[in-house]
Amino acid sequence: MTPEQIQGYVQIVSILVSMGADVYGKVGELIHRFSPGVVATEEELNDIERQGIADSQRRMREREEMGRG
Amino acid sequence: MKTVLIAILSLGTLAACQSVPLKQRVSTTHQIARSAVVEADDAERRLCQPAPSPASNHCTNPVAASVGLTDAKHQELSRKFAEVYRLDIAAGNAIVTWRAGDPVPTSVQDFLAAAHDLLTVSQSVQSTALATRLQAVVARAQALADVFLLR
Repeated sequence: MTPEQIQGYVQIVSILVSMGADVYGKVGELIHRFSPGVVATEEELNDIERQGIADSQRRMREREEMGRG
Repeated sequence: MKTVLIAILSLGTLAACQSVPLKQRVSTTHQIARSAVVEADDAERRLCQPAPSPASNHCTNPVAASVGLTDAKHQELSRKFAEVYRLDIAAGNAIVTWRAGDPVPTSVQDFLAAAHDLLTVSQSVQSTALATRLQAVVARAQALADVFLLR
């Protein structure tokens, strides 16, 4: 393994660590749940989207408050 | 460099899921992008107000202003986040109602553009933690757009 390759892998690891376990926990959950060969029902997908929509609506309202000068 | 690596990781994951139905790939990629937005949102809030508090247009963290996160910058970022969430909601609703054979929802591209704007607005804030998370938002939003192009 060359020094450049080692540097590359270190950078990847540092990126993953710096992004925080929470994001990758969610990513891992999604990938595991919908990994190749595991086909979700449309209702399962829509339920997840609706949960995200509800959370985004709350966050959007909070950010609108924060954005007032 | 970091953005390229993150994009490569995202697309690599996506390439492994070619057999999965398109709507599932789109929805999964959208949720990954959304998670990145939420992570960046939380990072900016922690930088502005370390202690949990109601939504405020004022930063209480004495360090915030020293890294460029003034009240004005926080308000500007907040308006951008609100716009990203508005487009995220539109993309989510479009995915829910999207049926096989329907045209690709354009709201996904709008979400990508807003994610790029978020990164641009934040550039004066000297926070590696926030910048890294916003770069991840852009990379994941780009991966979402790429899913549509790969259909």
